[in-house]
Amino acid sequence: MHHPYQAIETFSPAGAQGPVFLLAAGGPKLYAVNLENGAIVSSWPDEENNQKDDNKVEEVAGPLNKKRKVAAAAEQPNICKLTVSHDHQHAIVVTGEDKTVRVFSLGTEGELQELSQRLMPKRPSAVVISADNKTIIISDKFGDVYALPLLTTPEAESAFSASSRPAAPKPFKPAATALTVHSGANRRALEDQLKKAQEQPPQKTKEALNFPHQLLLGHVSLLTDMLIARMDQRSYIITADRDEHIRVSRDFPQTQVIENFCLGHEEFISKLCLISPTLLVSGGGDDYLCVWDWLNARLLQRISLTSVVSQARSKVSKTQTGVDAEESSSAVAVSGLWTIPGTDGNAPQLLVACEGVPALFAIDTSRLGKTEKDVDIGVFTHGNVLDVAFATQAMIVSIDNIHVPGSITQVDQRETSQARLLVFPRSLCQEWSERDHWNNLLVDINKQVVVDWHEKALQALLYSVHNLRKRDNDEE
Amino acid sequence: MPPPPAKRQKRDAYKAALNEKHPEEAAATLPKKRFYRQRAHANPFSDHALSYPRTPDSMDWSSHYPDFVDQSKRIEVADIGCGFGGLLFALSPRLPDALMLGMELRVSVAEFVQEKIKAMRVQNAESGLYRNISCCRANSMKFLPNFFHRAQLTKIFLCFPDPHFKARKHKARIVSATLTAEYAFVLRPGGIVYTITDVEDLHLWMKEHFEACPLFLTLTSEELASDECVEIMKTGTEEGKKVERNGGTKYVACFRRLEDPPWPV
Repeated sequence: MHHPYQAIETFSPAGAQGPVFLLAAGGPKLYAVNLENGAIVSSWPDEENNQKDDNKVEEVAGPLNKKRKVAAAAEQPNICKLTVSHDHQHAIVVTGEDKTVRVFSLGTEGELQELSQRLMPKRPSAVVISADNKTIIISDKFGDVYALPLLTTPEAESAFSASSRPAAPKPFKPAATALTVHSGANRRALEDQLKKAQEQPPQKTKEALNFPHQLLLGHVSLLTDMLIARMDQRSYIITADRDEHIRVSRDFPQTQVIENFCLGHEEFISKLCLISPTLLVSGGGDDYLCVWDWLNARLLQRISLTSVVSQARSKVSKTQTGVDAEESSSAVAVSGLWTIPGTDGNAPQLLVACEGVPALFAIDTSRLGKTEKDVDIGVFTHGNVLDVAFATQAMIVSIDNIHVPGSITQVDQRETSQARLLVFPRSLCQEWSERDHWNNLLVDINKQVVVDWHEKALQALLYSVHNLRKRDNDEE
Repeated sequence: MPPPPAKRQKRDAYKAALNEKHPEEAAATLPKKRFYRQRAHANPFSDHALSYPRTPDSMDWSSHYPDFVDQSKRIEVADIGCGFGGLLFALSPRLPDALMLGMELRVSVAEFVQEKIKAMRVQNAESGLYRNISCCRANSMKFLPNFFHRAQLTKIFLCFPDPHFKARKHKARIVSATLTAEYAFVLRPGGIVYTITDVEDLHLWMKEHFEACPLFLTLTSEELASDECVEIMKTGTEEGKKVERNGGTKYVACFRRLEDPPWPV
C-alpha cells in the first residue's frame, strides 16, 4: 500500500477560466495534477536533483562533521502544511522536521518551481498569506507569529543580515553579580557563565534568522491555527492556542493591540474557520464546535459533535472488526474545518473532519449562531479523512489508506489497495453524473508510488492533533 | 499513590498539633515559612494541574473578598509572581479601597500567602485590615486574560521576577517582546506596570521590551519619586528586604499604559 497524501490543495494559476490543478503532498513529495486530463504535470523534489543533493551531502559528511552526518542520514522531511496564495501564483510548503518554509511559483501549466527556502526557529503550525499576497504570516509551536515577505532576493537577505549584525561583539558582562539574590541554580548558572567567558570568547548563542522577518505577536502556549479577518476595512489576526485561547489582535503594524479573547473552550483548540465576516467557528479537543461573534468576543452557540462522531465510529465497528474498544472512545479531535460556498443562493456549508473518523460532517450555516443546528453526516468514507480540497464542481477528499478506518494506530492488514483520493460533488447531497469522469482524472495520482512509509512516522505525520490534549499532570 | 511530600506532611502535623493545644489561637497563628518553601523556579510552559476560570466572569471572587461581596467591585491591582506576599501586606493598608490579587505559580508558596492572609484578618479583626487582598495559584503568563477583563487593572506589579540568566530561557521571563501586549490588554489606559529587580541585566531587558511596545510610556524619575507605590515596592517586598541586607542594588522601572493608537487609515 502506498503512502497517503497528508495534505492537498487546488490552484488555477491562469485565473478562474483556466485549468485547475491539484497539489498533493505525500510524505516529503509534492505533485501537481492537471484536473482537466488527470496528468501528473510536475513533481518535487526533482528525482535527478535530489540524487545530486544526496551525493553532495555525503561528501561533506566526513567523520569530523558528526552533526551534519546525522542530519544527512535522516529521512527527507515530510510536508506538513500546504497553502496557495490568493492569486494562485505561489504555493507555500512547510516541512515539519526541518522547520523549513519553501515558496514555489506555480506555472500556468502547473509547473512547480522552488524559489526559496527559509529555516524558521521553531516548527511552524499555521501559515496564512496577507490579502495583498506580499507577506507570509507564520505561527509556530513556541507560540510566536512571524511575518516574512513572500518573495526575497539574495540582495534583500544580505542587506538584512548586514543591518541586523551587531557592529562589534559586545564585551562579556555577567548577567548578575555576586550581590544579586540567588537561588542555588541561578548561582551555578552565573558561575558557569564566568567560567565559560574565561575559557573562550563568547560564542553566538543562537543562529539568528538571516532573512527579513518580523515578530508580530506571541502566546505563552503552542499556537495551533491562525487566520486573518476583515471587518469595516480593518484587518485582524486571530490566533488559537493549546490553552483554550482565541486571541483577536489588530493586524500589522498594530499587533500589540489585543482587541479581545474569545474564551469558552474547555480543551485545546486546533482549527478556526470564518463562516462570514462576523462569524467564527472553532474546534479542537472538545466534543463541540464554538460559534463566535469574534469581534465582540461573544460565544453564540455550541454545536455538539458527539452523536455524529459516534455514529461514524459505530458504522465502522459494525462493518469492520478489530477496532480496539479503547480507541473508539468518545474523545473528539477536530482536524479540519472548511466552508463550501452555497449553490443557488443557499447558505454555505461548514465541513468538519475529526482525527481518526472515516466521515465528513456537514452543517448548514444559514442562521448559524441564531438557531439550533444539527450536524449531518456529509459523507462516509472508506478511510479516515486527512484533508479536503475544492475544485469548481468537485470536492476532493484525501483518505488514509493505511490505517483501519476509525483507528489512528491500527494498520489495515487487508491486501486490497484503496484509493487515496476520492471525489464528491461540491454540494454534498446532490446526485452527480460526473463522478466517473472525475474519478478517472484521479487514476494516475492514485496509482502514484510516493515513498516508503514507516508505521510510527506515518502515524505522527497524519495524527498529531490528539496529542495536544493535556494529560493529567502531577502537582508541582 | 506516592506518599505526600515530607514538607506537606510536617506542615499538617504542625497544624494539627497547634489546633489541639490552642484551638482558640490556631486561626490567628501565622503560617511558618519553613513548611512552605519551594524551589525558586517553576516552568511557566508546563501544563501543571492548574485550575483557572474559563472566563473572567466565571470566577467567583466572593470567597476571596467576603467583605466586598455586595459592592460589585472588581480587582484592580495584580501582583504577578507575588512570592510570599510581602508587597500585598504592605500595600493593603495604603490602598484600602482597591481589591488586590497576588498570583503565584508555586503551589506551596501560594498556599502560604492564603494562610497568612487568613491569620492576619483574624489578628486584625477590629481594624478590618487585609480584607482587600487575596492570593491564588496561577500561571499568569498563560492565563492572565482568563482572570481579568480588558482594561480592568490599574496597577500591575512585577517584583523581583526570576531572571532566567540563560539566553535559551529568555522566553520564560515574565517580560518578553510578546507578553507586553497581554499586560497592555488587562491594564486600563493610565494604569501602571511597576517593575523592580536587583539584576541589572534583567532591568535593562524589561525596560527594552516595555519601551519597544508603543502602548507604554516609561515614567520619569520625578514621577517615580512622587508615587508612593514605588517606595512600598522597594521596602515592602520580601526580596527587597533581602537585597537591602546583602547590600545589593535595586533597579526600578515603571511604565504607563497609553490609549490604543488610532487605526491606520
